[in-house]
Amino acid sequence: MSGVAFCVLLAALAVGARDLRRERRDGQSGAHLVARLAQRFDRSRPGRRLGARLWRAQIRLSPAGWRGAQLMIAVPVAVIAAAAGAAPPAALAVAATVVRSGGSLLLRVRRGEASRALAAAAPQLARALATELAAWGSGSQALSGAVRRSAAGDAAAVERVLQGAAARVVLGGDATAALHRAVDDAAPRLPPSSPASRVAAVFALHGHDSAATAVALERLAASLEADAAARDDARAATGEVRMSAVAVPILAAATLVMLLATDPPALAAALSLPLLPLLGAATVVVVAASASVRRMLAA
Amino acid sequence: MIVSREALTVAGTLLVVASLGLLLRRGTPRVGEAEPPPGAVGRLVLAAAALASHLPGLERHSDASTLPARLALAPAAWPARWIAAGLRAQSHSAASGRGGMPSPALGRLVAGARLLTGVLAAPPLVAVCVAWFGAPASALAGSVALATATRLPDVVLAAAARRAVRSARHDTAATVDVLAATAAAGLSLPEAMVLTAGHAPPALAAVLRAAAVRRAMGGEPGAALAAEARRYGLPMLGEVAQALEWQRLLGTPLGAELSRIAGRMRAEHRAAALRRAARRGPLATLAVALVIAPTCLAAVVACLVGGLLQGGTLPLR
Repeated sequence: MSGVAFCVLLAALAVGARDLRRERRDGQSGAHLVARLAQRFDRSRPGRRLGARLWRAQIRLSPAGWRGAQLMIAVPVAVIAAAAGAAPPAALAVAATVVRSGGSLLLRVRRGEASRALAAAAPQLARALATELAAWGSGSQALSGAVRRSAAGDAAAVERVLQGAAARVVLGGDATAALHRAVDDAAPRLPPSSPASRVAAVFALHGHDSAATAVALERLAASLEADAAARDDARAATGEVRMSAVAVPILAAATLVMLLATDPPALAAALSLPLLPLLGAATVVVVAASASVRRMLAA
Repeated sequence: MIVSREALTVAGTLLVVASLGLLLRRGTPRVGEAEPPPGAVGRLVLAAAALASHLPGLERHSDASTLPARLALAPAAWPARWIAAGLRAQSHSAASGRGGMPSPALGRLVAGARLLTGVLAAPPLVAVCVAWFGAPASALAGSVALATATRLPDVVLAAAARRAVRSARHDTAATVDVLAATAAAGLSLPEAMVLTAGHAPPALAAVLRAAAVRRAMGGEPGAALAAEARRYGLPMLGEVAQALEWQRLLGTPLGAELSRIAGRMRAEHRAAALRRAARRGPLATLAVALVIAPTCLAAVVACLVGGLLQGGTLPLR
């Protein structure tokens, strides 16, 4: 069995060496080869799926770049695990587990970021569409014009929505449906009452009266900005308390950790019976109070 | 005996976890999503509805008056999703020509959801009680759990409906904005209401859809909207109803009037949010000063004193 495995390994090496030779003969350097492999991964089905998850988390990395970053984190983790006494295969397994689970946790925690970015950029989207709709009077032309005029400073979410919608229009799609689909693609599982969905709904009225729709989009942008300003003002009024509800427990926890790390008798006392349940109860009380303070101020 | 106790406790815990997973599984409505096929929950609710028709007390007289509004207000709450799944399973079985089960009314489906909740909640408790307290106590606990759990869907649905009405108050201005845009674009009132309802939170959407139906059946628009707003507990739509009435009687342009109302609602909402922040800020400061900071300080001091006592360095005589 080991002989077969050795033969397969040799064959794989031979095939890889042949491919490398061909690449060099065609004038491609090693860096180009890596870039082409990265592009191929980005275009593959798993790469596209990962790209969609990265967009939803608003992490500006290509799928290949994300995998490269994971590899760059995995190497030091494996070295640390090996230095801590783990066998090399175990260290590799630990690093792979840490990096894979940490990466997917990060993507999962941030999966609503695209929706938030699109909600924040909805006034910009509404203004861009209003300007073009007032100028052209046609939904398709408005989408194409908005894409052409989108500047470098525009939000990435707006750019993505407009480009997606314009591409669908160029392929013969209806402007209204194209904008709806583009919004849905840019922020999947967006509730229908979200700001971007409302912009798409108002834009759909251009078939009835494009001038009135342009005015309505402009007014909607102003309303969305007023809503955001009201939220920001209310948050600013309670910002210090919200921060202190988190900062005080964190400072206390840091002090406690330093004390327990530098004072073995204190650590022994903290792990003994009278103090351990007291510390647990204090933790529960502080976490509950902190959460309820933040909840009270968020409502 | 200990092994069987542990096995029963583990089984009960697993059942509790499975029940909670089933209850808390949440699906967000998606724009343009196709109708999903009926799942296991829908078939279970349908089967439980058939069984519930033979059991007394699961269908209640108040269902007809309160349930439709609550289901419309809180479609994402788990009892509403169970009932929707039951309706989907029912229509699927009717469309596929199987038709093995009779078509239950809404009240019977709700009774099925109540029975299903009771059946899911009682066995874990009974299993734990059998393991630790014996058969008589477990029978008593099972009966109590069954009776309590059958009330759970109603409690959850009522709470979710109240929350929906509360959160709808924040979104009224945005919804009125969309209604103003549709009116300004020249859509007929029922069309405008239905289109706006598609982009409004559930509570406002329910009011607008019901008012559109009333209007389509010949009712006066203002009166229809006012009546539905009262029925769903959203009195702030009364001003919109008044604008509809003025438009009908005096011919005032609806779009501009609705935009004005939305602007005023937004200003009121902003003022209320700032008032609330000003009122709650000191309360939160009090909670930080009286609960969080002293508890943190007490924990640090306790560890410090414990360390000194443990090391024998505390200068006590």
